Amino acid sequence: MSTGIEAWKNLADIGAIYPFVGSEVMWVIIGLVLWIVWHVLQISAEKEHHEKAKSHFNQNYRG
Amino acid sequence: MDNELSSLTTIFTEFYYWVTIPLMFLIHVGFCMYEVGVSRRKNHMHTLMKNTMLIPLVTITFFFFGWWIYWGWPNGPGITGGVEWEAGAPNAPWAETMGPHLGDRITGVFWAAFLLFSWTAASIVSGSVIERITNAAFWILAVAIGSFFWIIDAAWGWHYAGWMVQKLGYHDAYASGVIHAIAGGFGLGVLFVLGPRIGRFRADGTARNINPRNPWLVAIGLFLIYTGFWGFYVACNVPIIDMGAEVGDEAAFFTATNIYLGPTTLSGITFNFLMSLAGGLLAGYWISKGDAFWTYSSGLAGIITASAGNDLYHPIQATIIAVIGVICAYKMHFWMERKFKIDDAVGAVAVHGYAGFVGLVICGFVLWGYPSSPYEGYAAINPLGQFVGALIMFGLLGFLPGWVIAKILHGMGMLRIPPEVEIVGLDSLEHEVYDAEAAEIEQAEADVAKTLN
Repeated sequence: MSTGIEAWKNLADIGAIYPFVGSEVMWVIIGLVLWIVWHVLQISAEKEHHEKAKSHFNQNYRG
Repeated sequence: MDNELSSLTTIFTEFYYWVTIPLMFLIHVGFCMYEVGVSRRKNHMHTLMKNTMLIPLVTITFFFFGWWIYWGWPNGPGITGGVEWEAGAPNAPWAETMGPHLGDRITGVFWAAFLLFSWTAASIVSGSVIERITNAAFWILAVAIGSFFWIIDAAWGWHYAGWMVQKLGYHDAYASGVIHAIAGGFGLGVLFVLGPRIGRFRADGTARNINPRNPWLVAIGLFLIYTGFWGFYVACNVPIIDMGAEVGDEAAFFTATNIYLGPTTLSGITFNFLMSLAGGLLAGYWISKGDAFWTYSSGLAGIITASAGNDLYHPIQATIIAVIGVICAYKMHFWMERKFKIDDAVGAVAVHGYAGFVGLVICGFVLWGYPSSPYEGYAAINPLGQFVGALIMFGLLGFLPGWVIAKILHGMGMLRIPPEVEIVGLDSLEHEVYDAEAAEIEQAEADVAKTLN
């Protein structure tokens, strides 16, 4: 079993040294999806935070 | 990498750019300290997070598409040619050279040097909008300026084959326009839609000051930005290249060059960096009557104004240009504040936007007739080309996208925090929790104290 390099020989011919060479497009798609999902979750969490902060305002500034 | 001399040159170049990256990291440390120092206690945590989280977001998006744009779009595309697919291919996110690769020693460090510029572009906008923008909106804007719009202008005007360099004779060696004018313009576009903080203007339209809460944090932050700026300057150069071969001379001539592969020296830019900093500080102290905030910021504005031509200016020219830029930026800041009720919390639009714009225009006169590139067929540096370039940087790629995206976010109800939250403070919930936790600890200590006697 090897995910990529098996021996440090013929170095001039090796090129990329990270695991799973050839799967780069898949990693890019995964990365893009994670990026968008992060924004969606963050927007939702921030809205919730603002609602709680508004309640805090109402309790403290409006008696 | 098959002989000692070429290996040394390659690894020196790799190391050269690598060193610029931790230096430029200090710019971001400085921006964070500066913003927190300026913001009020009720907003500290969120202000810090707003700036900090642009780092990962701009980083991943610059990996996904920003870096490819730089190599793929020097012709517009559609202005002087199409997409440069061949040049873009090794810089696409799925390219093998966008990772550890024994046949490539430059892509990662060069990508990172540009990435740090990207953070800076987004961070400049961050300071101006504190204490009332939502983080969600800011981070979308940060990705837009940091991974898209600024890198378009870099492809057009900060690339040895960029169409603005070829056709306009655009010259901007240390990014007066490419980073600073565009980011300042973008910030201004957002500010027009975002509006001022509650209480910033009186009913008669005159401004109230919301002064820096912690001047020491502001001072150290700006000193760190100065420090990081050294890395920025160094990263804008190619450290060693045989220019003789590039221009067809018989003899080899090894030199450092600017980003356009025109010759300069690290010695020369060191003179000019410090002399323009000095000019900015002197002018800022004088015009602001010794105000520490404006004096420090003016040091930065001085460098920014002179940056377009600091590869070639005489040091005293750089000093005088810095003085002119600071006076223009300071006057413009307060004029815009009075006229349009612009609440630029840290003066970022002035220090980066107006100073950068003025610096580009001045460069067109001072370096009039100089070659914009060592290659044949390029327009020479000229005042009109620089003025048009400044309009493109500040207006077309800066102000306009900032205003449009902010309008869209505003229309979706996402741009600004609710007024109740602005009044109570973004950190109000955290403070409540902290206070409760502190009270609990105090109670526990009091309980233990009772048992001691």
